[in-house]
Amino acid sequence: MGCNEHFIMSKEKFLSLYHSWLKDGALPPTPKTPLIWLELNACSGDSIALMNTQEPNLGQVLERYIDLRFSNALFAVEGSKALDSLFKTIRLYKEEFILVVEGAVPLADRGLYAVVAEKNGQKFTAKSILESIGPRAKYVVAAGTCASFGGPSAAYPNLSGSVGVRDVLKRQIINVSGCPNNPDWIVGTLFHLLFYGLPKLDKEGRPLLFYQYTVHTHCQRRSYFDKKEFAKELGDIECMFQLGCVGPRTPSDCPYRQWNDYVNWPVRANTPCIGCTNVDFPDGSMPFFVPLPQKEKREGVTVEKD
Amino acid sequence: MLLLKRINFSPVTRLSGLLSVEVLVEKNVIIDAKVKGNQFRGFEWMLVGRNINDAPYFTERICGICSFAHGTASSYLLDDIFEDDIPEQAYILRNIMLALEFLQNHIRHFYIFSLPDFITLPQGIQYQGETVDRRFDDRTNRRLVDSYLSAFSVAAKAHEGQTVFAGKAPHQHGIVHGGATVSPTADKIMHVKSIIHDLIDFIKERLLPDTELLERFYGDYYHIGISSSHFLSHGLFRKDKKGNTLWPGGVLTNNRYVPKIDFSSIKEDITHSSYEKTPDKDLGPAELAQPKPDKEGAYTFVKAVHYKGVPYEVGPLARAYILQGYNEYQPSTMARILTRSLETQRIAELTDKWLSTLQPETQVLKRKKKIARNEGIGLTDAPRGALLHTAKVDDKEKILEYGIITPTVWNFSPLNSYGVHGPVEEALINTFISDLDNPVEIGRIIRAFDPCLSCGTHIIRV
Repeated sequence: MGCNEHFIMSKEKFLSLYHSWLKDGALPPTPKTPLIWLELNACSGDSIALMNTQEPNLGQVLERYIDLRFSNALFAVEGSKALDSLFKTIRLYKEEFILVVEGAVPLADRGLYAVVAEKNGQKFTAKSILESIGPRAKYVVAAGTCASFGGPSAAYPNLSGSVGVRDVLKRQIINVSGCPNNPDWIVGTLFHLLFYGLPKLDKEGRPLLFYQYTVHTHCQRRSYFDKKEFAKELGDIECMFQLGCVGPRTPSDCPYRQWNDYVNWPVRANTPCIGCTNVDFPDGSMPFFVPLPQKEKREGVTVEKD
Repeated sequence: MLLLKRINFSPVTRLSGLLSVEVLVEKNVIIDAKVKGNQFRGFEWMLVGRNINDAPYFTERICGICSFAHGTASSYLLDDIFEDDIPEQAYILRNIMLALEFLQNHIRHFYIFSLPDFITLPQGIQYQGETVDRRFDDRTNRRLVDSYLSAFSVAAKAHEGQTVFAGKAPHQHGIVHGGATVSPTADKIMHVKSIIHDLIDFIKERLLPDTELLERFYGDYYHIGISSSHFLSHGLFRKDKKGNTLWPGGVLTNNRYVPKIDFSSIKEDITHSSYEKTPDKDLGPAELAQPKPDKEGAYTFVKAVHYKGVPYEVGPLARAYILQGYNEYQPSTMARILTRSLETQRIAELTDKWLSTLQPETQVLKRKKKIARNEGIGLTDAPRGALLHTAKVDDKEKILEYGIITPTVWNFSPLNSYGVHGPVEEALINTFISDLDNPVEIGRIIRAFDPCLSCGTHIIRV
């Protein structure tokens, strides 16, 4: 018994010491940054891509870095209380929160082609909700090509009149284009904003960190292109140019970074790059399987130059 | 005293796409329900005039959570139009990729979308506000929160497995008409097998026991969210050129199973949908209805679809009942959740088996260069139910018409011209709401159908 009592005493002493070390040595808890993820006219693919992040995984992102205040795909709160949280965040954290937008903004028919929420008979269209939140955010990030430039949601004939966020908000938009955005691009951009501020951007507002070089510049199959050895059919090992590859005018680090925890990417899967980070995606890349000079030029489509 | 109360439950979070629900409540019981698909992009209009070869990659963009299912239906459609005679190994490889789509979807659905309806999330993970009807003790709740956090990585692994053969996910490149673009090799087979083994462990140690916990604490949900016993499936995991599937399709109507679906009897109805029939030849084929958001009496961009005049429920529950040829229990919220979890286990084990039958370095792509006919059909089940693609093309392979009927169109059908509600509205009606300020029952019932409104809202031929 005496021995045990002695042990208990020393354990307490040890614990008090241990806690004082923790107090002195441990990092102070970082306050998490409030974030609103606003889904508009989209396929939810950019949310799914966000969920595909592995290092860090999304659980870690939520626990350590992001105070999620609204998200169509992830938010635990539902119904009018979710909407309340959204508006409360704008009031409480003015110019502190990050706004991430997924999907395009439909402008036709008074914006009724995307209604984010309804309350007391009032319809909060994508356009109206974006216009009320956008100006108050510290940063606005467009996740995916629809939010950046219109993307597939705005493909011809675009009955919904969808446009990218930059055509609605007159402020700086960080465009993390891609269909969907690679998890690293969106999480990497958010981390840059959290810890290092605004990243350097290209002329279309895309972070140079990910979009500085074209797919073609770093393509694994570049040596085939240089020797003019072209794949004749999907599944072949040679350069995909003759099968419609848009790599020569597509800014993205796909060849290095690859997808889904760095295991593969379209060209490595023996198919052409379809240029999903481009301003004119998808119309400017179609038909997908004809060589670049023969792509159809649709009226009203601006073709991005390399 | 006012007995009627209208609740606009908006937005319904934790799903794909934009959804609001309006219910009319009398003495705490829902007497009417309107599910509102609140977005429209018009993919079928966009497809007109494009090359049919582009359809798999293009239609994937309809839906981020089941893009592979659209890629599959569209590739089947092209196989039909080109009369491709695809290699046997390609069937297996395509099924493996499709199975991985189901696995990521089902794990995400259970943990990320559905479970927060029942557990209390610690403040440190995400803000949850005031919660009602939480029944788990602290220890059980901690276990489920732990599973919730692990599910993010586990579901992402399923997409990684798909990417080994498909290039990327979502919006893959690997399934095309004529088969698949990446031949299996020993290292790739092992990579995916390793992922499948981890998934099977997770399913056994987490998903199934967690589903059992949910069932034990919320057993009353076997009596909540009841719909009519009408089920439809296009079958799942194609085995051969004839379109035979490992899991059979068909319809189960009041316990009577009919394996063959008469596709001409699938009809769509826009009585309460925001479209009108005003053919405009300048914009596309006359058969397409035009969107009209402020149409009187309309409340959704989802059309009402019915088979021989009757709305049908689709999804894991429908597949399970059709597979056994009868339904022993009434279709309920808990039955939907349970069958999805059981299906996850079955699919994971099948995938493991299929991986063992893949032969390294065999041919998986064999495609014809010219179309053999001018129309085709692509049928499969997606994670959330029956998916159909149809198309007509001209001799230059340009799309004249492209039609898509997604699972969400079946489940989230509004009232049709006969005054019959779709399955989700029906499941909501007669539900007792305990706390009118916190109608937690509504979200639970709806999410068990795994809604995807990005898929739900198209213009379809009427």
